[in-house]
Amino acid sequence: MQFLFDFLGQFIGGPANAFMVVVALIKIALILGGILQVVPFIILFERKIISWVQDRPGPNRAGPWGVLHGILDGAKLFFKETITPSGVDKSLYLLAPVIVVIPAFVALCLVPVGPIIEGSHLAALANFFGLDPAMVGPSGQINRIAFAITNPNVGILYVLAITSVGVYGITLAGWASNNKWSLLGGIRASAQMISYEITLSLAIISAILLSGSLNLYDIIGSQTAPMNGASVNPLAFLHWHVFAAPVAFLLFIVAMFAETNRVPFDLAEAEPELTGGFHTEYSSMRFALFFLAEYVNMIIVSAMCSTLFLGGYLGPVMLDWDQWAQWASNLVPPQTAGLYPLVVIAGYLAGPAVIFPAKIAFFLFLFIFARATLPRFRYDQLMNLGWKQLLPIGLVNFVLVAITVGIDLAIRAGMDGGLEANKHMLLTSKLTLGAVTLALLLIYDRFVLTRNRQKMLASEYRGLGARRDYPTPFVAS
Amino acid sequence: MELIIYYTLFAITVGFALGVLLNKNTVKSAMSLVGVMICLAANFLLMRQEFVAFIQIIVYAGAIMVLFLFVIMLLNLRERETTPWYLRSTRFWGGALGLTFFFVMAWGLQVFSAGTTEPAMAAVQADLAARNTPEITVLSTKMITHYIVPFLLTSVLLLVAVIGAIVMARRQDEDGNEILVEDEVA
Repeated sequence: MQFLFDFLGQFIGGPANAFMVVVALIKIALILGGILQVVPFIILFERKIISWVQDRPGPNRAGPWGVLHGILDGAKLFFKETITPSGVDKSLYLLAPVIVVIPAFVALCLVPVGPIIEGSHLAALANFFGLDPAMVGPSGQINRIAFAITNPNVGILYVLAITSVGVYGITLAGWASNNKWSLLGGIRASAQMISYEITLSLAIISAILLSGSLNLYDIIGSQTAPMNGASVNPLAFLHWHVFAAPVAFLLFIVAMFAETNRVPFDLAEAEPELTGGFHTEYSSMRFALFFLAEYVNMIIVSAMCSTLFLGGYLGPVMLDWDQWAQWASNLVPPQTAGLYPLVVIAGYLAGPAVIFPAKIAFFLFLFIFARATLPRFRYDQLMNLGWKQLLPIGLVNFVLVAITVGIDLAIRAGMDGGLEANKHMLLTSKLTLGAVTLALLLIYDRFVLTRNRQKMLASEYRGLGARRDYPTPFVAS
Repeated sequence: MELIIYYTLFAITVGFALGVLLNKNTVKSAMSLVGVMICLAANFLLMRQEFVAFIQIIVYAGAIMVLFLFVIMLLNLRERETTPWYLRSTRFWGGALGLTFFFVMAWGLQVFSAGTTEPAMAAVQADLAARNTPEITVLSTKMITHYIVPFLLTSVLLLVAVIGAIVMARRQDEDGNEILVEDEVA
């Protein structure tokens, strides 16, 4: 295959450049194509799961078990007439769906889908494809290939920046439609996304503090369990940040529902109040773009949550694939010892093909299950939750996580027996502090938040017409 | 290559900046300003300052401009409002101030960049690359050691602004009692 890159390299400055471009294009095709294929099936599963919750069969007409429903929905939208209502601000009206979709897909480039190939495995890969070791190899021009389209140093900031631009699309769609309900939807969306971005950032900062880096691969790397020469580490999942910062994980989950405008935070498109909200005046593929962006955004926040708190592509049990490959190749007779590379390849593909999709699927199920079971927030409840409850919790949690990291650093600085002897102590201190934070949250909820909730319910009850001194069923004190 | 990208970016930035000034529609004007912010971030990226670039987008494009847009939409400025007397000659004074600002900036750049030549900048960058520290480490170390006093003063200033906003937004009834949001629900 070397001749191919030599040939292409004549046009873009060397075979290494050509190789990088080709690899990037393959990655883009795989990730973008994969996501676009998956979205119709997410929609199908959403409808199926909601129908199971409501005890009805759900979509079952098109294809066996209704599998074609999602795809046919897309086809239907594709062939519908595109209507531009009179009175819209034409340029902004056309621009809005584009502004929503582009950030969603750009953010996909950042998702670390699988491990970085480097060292002897990269050499083996280069050898397999017949590539020049000076171009691709441990000491070549390209000495590492990551299972992600790009890997900037400040990856998590990139994600935050790109997704924060997406809110313009929703706001502009609402404004340009020249429809007061759409405008209300757009304004609700922008206020909501700004409010919950703060909670989201506070949750992300906890994960950044624990890993000491803004790079997504470094964040996953800091959740890797040490192997110490063993072939398997069954408790590797204890190193995930979710156990060191459980409150940050919960805050992230709440904020990610709000950031993607999903139930119970779907005020921007509240059907009974706003007849669809910001996308009321959109039809055909323009509407489909909003729909697509919503699902891609769900995938992105799920991927970010698993990367930051659930170890990304790391499995709950760590295996040393080299040792297992050695073991497997010893099982078969020497003349068929081709099992070694197969097991190593399986080790590389287990993350991107099984573990990471499983984690994303878990969060997507959470999104859908919440939609099937939770009622929508009222606007003042939304703001109350975001500013008066989640923000203080996030700030206090941030300080507690900083203390966790400080203790971690102190242990590291004071230990004599090296990292090896003290690894249990490091892990135990992190887990203990995580448990303490969670306990504090539960106590705070039990003794402060519950009382505030009851007080608020009582005042709402009075607002319905009851007198101020009337004994209401909700008053606690 | 970098020069081509730089000049293309420069043209796009100036185009967006003109869009801010020349658009009659305030929403389009605000969107052009978002474009300027993103172009500035791209300029920072061109200087290999990833952290500053993304902070620029998060803070200005992601938060401040959304609030601008929010306010514009709530006010819904469609018609030209009557201008008060002190804003009658905006064009003249605005133009004069703009030109003055431009010349002061040009003069300042001339004076203060006299000592720094391009090789000096290259040396700084080479030094950074050689030490292999991410720029964010350099930035944060400087910020909490050398520039700790200005940093803290800025935070206090922001805190004062926040408290001021809360005090101004708080409403009181005739007796001076605070009106709580909880009492107004429904």
